[in-house]
This record gives sequence, structure tokens and C-alpha cells, in this order.
Amino acid sequence: MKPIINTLLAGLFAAWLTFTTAFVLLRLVPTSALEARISLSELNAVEAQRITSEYGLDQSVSAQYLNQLMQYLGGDLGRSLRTGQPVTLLLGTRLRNTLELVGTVSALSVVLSVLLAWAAFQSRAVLALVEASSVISLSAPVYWTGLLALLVVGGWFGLPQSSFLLPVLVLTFHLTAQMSRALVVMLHHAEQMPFVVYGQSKGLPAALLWFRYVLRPSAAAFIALFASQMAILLGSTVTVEALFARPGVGTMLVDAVIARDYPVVQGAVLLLALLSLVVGLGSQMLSQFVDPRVRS
Amino acid sequence: MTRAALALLIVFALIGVFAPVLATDDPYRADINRLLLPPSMDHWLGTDYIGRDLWSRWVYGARHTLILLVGAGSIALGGSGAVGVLVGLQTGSLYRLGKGVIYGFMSLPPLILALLIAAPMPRSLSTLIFAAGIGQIPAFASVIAVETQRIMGSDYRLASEALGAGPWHIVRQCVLRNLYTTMRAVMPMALAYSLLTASTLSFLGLGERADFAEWGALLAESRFNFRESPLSAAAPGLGMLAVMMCLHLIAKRDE
Repeated sequence: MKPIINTLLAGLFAAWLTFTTAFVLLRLVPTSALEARISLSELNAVEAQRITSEYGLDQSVSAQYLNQLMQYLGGDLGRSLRTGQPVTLLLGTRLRNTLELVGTVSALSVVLSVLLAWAAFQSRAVLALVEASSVISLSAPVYWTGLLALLVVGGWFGLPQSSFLLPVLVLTFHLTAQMSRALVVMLHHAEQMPFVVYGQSKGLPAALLWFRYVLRPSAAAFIALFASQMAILLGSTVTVEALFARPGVGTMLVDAVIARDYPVVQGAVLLLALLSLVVGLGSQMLSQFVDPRVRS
Repeated sequence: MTRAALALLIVFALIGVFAPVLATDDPYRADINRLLLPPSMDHWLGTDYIGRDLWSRWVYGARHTLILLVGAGSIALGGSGAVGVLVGLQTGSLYRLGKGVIYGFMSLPPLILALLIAAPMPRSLSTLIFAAGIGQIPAFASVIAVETQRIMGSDYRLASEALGAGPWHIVRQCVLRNLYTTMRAVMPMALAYSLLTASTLSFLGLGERADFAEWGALLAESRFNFRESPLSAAAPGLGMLAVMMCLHLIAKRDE
């Protein structure tokens, strides 16, 4: 239980850190930008006053910070500077799209990378393929493989740009290539363990030996690997959503950064940070569940 | 392999440095009389949808890639080195606090941290460099902090302290010198990820100008007409792929 509580505390600390960084960067530094926006728009003095007090610009910095922290804790992420809609509402509708994409890609990649790692143990050709795609997926920017998928796969099968398949394909390629290569390395280490040699000498069938004696003890390490790849996946999701014009949290973040809609930027960044923290915590609980050695 | 990768990187760097000489036209000059031309002697890679010479834009793309690589890479390396050593030199709860802060920032993917930093800044080349460089610091600083802590706990350091070495001597002779191997491994990775993040920011439209001649931005533009001119997407993409691959091959040399 103790490691989980520690991770939870570390997660809360990380969330607070993200909030504070975003506050300093977006609310403290560009207050003048917000003021310029208010004075530029053709508002009368009363209206300008109303907006200034609505965004709390007439208060001291520490009061603004505390107010906002309280608001965030209460689940109120403020309002968009552009449309005036609540940020929670904007995020809520788009979170589903992002989770759908991230979830599908994660599930596919976990299954595919286990299968690929297994195949790499059987055939040298698959091993070479795994090695090569790992270098390519590390080197090729996601926006380029995305364009390539749009041109080649989309062109062949006549898929529209809005197709769900293309972003899944691109992200799954990048994630699977990374995870399968790391899994192959991990399994090569596991293979040299004494209990594997013992199983071999008992004459166990190869498949049983591989799945139960080699893969099973590597499960916790594999889960940790997945969690560490999650941050990269979330970053790539932003790019892919923008490329394929999918209405997700990523597109919303990019649009808000370009339009300098700071409350939306802050909300989206915090949501993405929370997502990666939840995955981290979940993966730690999962690895304790599957591997008794982690528990002690 | 490593030598070939280094040689190719030098070729790209030379193309970048001599871009004004190698370009056959102004990379930003549009001309309505030469829209979407195929490659020819006049336009080696053809022209794009508003009649700009793609070869010149590609060459300037190499130049801006070089600037992003060196600029953002130095910020990432210098920043993570400074933060990592500073945290790694601490002991007890101070070290735990420092590491906690670094790990806290690691919950933000580098690209998203870079977007957050770029948000309030003006749209310029230096914003790309700064945001992409800072975005890499948490991940690499954590590696350097842990390694510094390991060196500080080594018998080697204890021995030099017993010999009467002062704190400065220990930092210089024990820590910095022993960090060499780590930095050697970190450097190509930090350069590669800084460049990737910077060019992704540029792809997402945070560059200096909408028609910025940088490979990421060129690819972003090619989205709308890559079916008519596949080279407009292939050339900058292959350039980026080649540079990144060289960096990763160099990173792998120690494996």
C-alpha cells in the first residue's frame, strides 16, 4: 500500500506544480495581453470593468492565485476568453474523442508488441523488422508519418481525412515499434534467468515456456515501459489530432495556444497532465497486482 | 555506421550554412505564373501551390533546422546539465525535493510543456528554440541528477575528500569528469528530441510566420496539395527523417 500512497502524493504534487507553472506563465506574465485585449475591443468602461473583475485582474497576485486554485479544486476551470464558454464544458466534449483514440492505440499496441516480440524470438526476419521500425519510428516525426499515411493508405483505400483509422494506424505504428523493441530486449534478459533454463531442461513446450516463464516475469517491467511511453503518446496525440483535424483535447490546446486563449490552454494542459498521472498510478497498481515481487 | 551518420549530418550542416548560396530563388517569393510545376532545370524540386521554388525553400528549411537543432539542443543540454548537477549535489531531503520537482514536471509530455511555454511568448524563431529546449529539461535532468548522486556516493569521491579535496575540486574533478559518459549518451538524444519538438511546434503553426521555410512548416503547408505535388511533402520529410536517423544512430553507438 505504501508505494501507492507515495505515488498518489507525488501525483498530487505534480498536479499542483503544473497548475502553478501554468498560472505563472499564463496569468502572471501576460496579464497585460489580457488588458490590451479588453481595451482594444470596443467596450465601454463599465463592460471593461466587469471583465477585469470577472478575470480577477483587479486583485493582488496572491489573491488571484488562491482564488484560482480554489476554483480549480472546485472543478471550475474558468471561461474561454474567445467564446466565454466554461472551459470544463469545452474539455468535456473533447476528452471523449481523445480517450477513444489513446485507448484504442494503447490496447492495439500492447497486443501487437507482445505478438511481435514472440515472433521476433522465432524468426530473425521479424527481429530485423522490429529493430528497423524502432529506428524509423524514433526518427520520423509523427506529423510526417501521419501525412504519409494520409497519402498512401488514405489514397489507396479512399479513406477521408476524418477517418478514425488513420490516426490509430499512425500512433499504433509509433507506439508498437518502441514497445516491441524494448520488450525484445527485456525478454532477452529474462531468458537467461535460471528458472527459464530449468524449465527448458524439464522439456516444457516452447510456447508454454515463452509465455509463462519468460513473458510473465517481465510483465511488471512491461507495464512500467507502457507508462513511460504514455507521455510520448499523449504528445503525439496532440500532433495527430491537429493533423487529422480531430476535435480532441490536443487540437483544443493547439488552437487555444495560437489564439492566446489562456484559460483554455491552462485547462487543457492540466487535463493532459492529470491523464498521464492517472496512467502512471494505474500502471503501478497493475504491476503490483500481476507481480508479487513488486508488492514487497 | 556512426561515421556515415556524422558525415551526413555535416553535409546537412553545410547545406544549411550555405543556404543563401545554394538557393536558386528567394524562398518566400510567390509567382502566379509558375504554380505547381514539376521538377525541371529551373526548379529542381518544382514549385508549390503559390509558385515558390521548392528547392530554395528546402535549402532554407535545412538552415532553419540547423538553427533549431543547435539552439534548442544547447538549451536542453545546458539546462538539464545545470539542473541535474545542482539537484544531484544535494543530500537528504533537499535532494528528494529537487528530484520530486523534476519528476513532477515529467508528468507533462515534452511537447505539451513546450506548448505551455510558447503560449504567452511572441511567435518567433527564438520562441520555438526556447520552448522546445526547456521542454526537454525534466527528462534529461532526472538522468543527470541520479548519475550525479551516484558519483557523490562513490568511494572515489570519499577518497578524494579524505585526501583533502575542497568542494570545488570535487565538483570539477569527480562529478563533471565522471559525467562525461552520461553526457555523451544524453547529447545526441537531447539534440534529436529538441529538434523534433521544435519542428513539431513549427508544424502546429507556432513559427515566425505562416509561410516559414522550415521543414515542419513546409510539411504543414504541403497537407493541402500533396496529391498534386508529392515532392513538397517528401523532400522536407525525408530531410527530417535523415537528420533524426543520424542522431539516433549516433546515440546507439554505445549500446
